[in-house]
Amino acid sequence: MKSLPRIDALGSRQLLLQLFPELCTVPSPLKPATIRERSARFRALDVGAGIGRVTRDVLLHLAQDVVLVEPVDKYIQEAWSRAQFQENPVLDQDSIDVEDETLEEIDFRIPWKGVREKRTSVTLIQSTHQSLDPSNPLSSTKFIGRVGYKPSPNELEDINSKFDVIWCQWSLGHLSNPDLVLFLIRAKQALRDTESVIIIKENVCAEIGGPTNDGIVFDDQDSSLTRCVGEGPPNVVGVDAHESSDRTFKGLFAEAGLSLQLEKTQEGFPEGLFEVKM
Amino acid sequence: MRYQLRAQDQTRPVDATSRSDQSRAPHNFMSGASNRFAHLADQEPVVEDGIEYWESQPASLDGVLGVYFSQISLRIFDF
Repeated sequence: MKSLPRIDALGSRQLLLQLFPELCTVPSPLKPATIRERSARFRALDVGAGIGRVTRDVLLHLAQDVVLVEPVDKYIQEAWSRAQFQENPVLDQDSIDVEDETLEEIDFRIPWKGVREKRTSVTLIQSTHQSLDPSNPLSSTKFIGRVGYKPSPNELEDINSKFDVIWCQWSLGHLSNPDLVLFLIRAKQALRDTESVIIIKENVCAEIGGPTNDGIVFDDQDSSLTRCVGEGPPNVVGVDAHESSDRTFKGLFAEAGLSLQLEKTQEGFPEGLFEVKM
Repeated sequence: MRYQLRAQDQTRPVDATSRSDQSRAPHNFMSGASNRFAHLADQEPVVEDGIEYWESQPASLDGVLGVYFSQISLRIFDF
């Protein structure tokens, strides 16, 4: 794996292990002496999942069942091709010239942990965040397919089960503030219990009152927002307190009835990038 | 959105090699030559525009992350 995606994935997995130390599969100081028994399979939802990078490199290392949701047709189809390859790796070993292989070809074949052995599963759905109800993922969306573990006799009988983790990375900028609040409210309703979390990993811009002052940056190339985190009640001259806080991440979390459990910066990215927060 | 650069002083947006736009040479990363990023609080994302943009990008690691993000090799990090 190339360096930056690897740093990103490792940072994400470390965060997950901090929140769910019982998922650690090797001896580690993070692992508690007494492990919380889980009666159900650990389920994760990956929204705005692209071609399945986070599902493959982060979630499947710790979760048993992942529901992968992506709105862009070419990305969900690529994710489906990769997922199907995991079940039926059609490989002509003689035709593979290791020296001539491109990184993309190598990337395509990286295993999705546990899928081929049917220990884990990935269910692929095409939907925007706006159309997705995580409590009922097949409602108003397009089912693409499922690979790996499948309940019997109905392979989708667990589809409406609650989630332990809902992972949102580099996609919430495509939601307006009202749409984001509504999505977070629906996501909250789909969490399994009080230990369950919504993880948001996004670029963040300078705070309100900072150099850009607005606390939000619009990118007209892909029509997306970069928000600031927000640092409690704003105290900025000339900026209405309510209007400014309701467009920061923390303001929007509060509006959705969510409480912030943990805040971390993704370390290891080079200067020049937006800061990435989890 | 999945990958963006910011100016170090955060006062001037930069013309990143956003996503897979390989026409922008790496030496222009920090040029600050573009006004693509607008600091306008009243702009809102349009879902269809976002999807249209991403449909124009490659369905690959480079496409979803951007060439810069996905290919840079940081040897200073020891994993």
